[in-house]
Amino acid sequence: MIELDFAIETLANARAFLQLEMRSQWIYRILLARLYYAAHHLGRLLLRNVELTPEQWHRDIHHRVWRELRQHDVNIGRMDIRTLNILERLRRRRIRADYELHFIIRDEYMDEAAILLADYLNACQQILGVM
Amino acid sequence: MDLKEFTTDLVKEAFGEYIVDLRFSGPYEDEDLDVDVILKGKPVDFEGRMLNVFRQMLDADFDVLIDYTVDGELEQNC
Repeated sequence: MIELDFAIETLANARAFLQLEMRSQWIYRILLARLYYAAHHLGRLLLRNVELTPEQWHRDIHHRVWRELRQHDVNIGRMDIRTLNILERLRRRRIRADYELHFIIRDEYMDEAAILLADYLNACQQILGVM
Repeated sequence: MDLKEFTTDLVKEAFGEYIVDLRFSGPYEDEDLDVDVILKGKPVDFEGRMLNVFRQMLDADFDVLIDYTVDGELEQNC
């Protein structure tokens, strides 16, 4: 499952950057984007596992992944709503990183994003049965 | 429906006196709106309150991205 491998690798690399104190604004902006997309792709993997085809969606994709995860995972108890909310919070942070260049991102904000992905990844691994 | 007003009402109902500021921005891509809620601290039941807002936003099918930070964790370089 390439999406799972990607998420694990993304989290490991993010942690490595942070632990090595590579903490520039530029690096933070890259990491926040990568953390979100790792989570987004995991969401798409979960949806493919219930026979949906997110790769064929062309509009409103990010919101649709949310909506479908809620319907197919949250509503049947496979995913709790806290996990789904992590996807939102990471997406907000990714958009901030890409578009709001006048904001200075603090260490705590970045560190929390990595923790959010770790929690999300853990939840997805349990759903996928790989833990 | 005014989306900012709807969002403000939801967040205020959930976090009330904990709110320092509510900052709107965007949309930058295909989301409806971006919101940063600055709190003076996290209440004990922060997660429940946050998820209540999230749930209501999902029910209304709005693509509003809300993130929460404690005052001081997010700096704006003016």
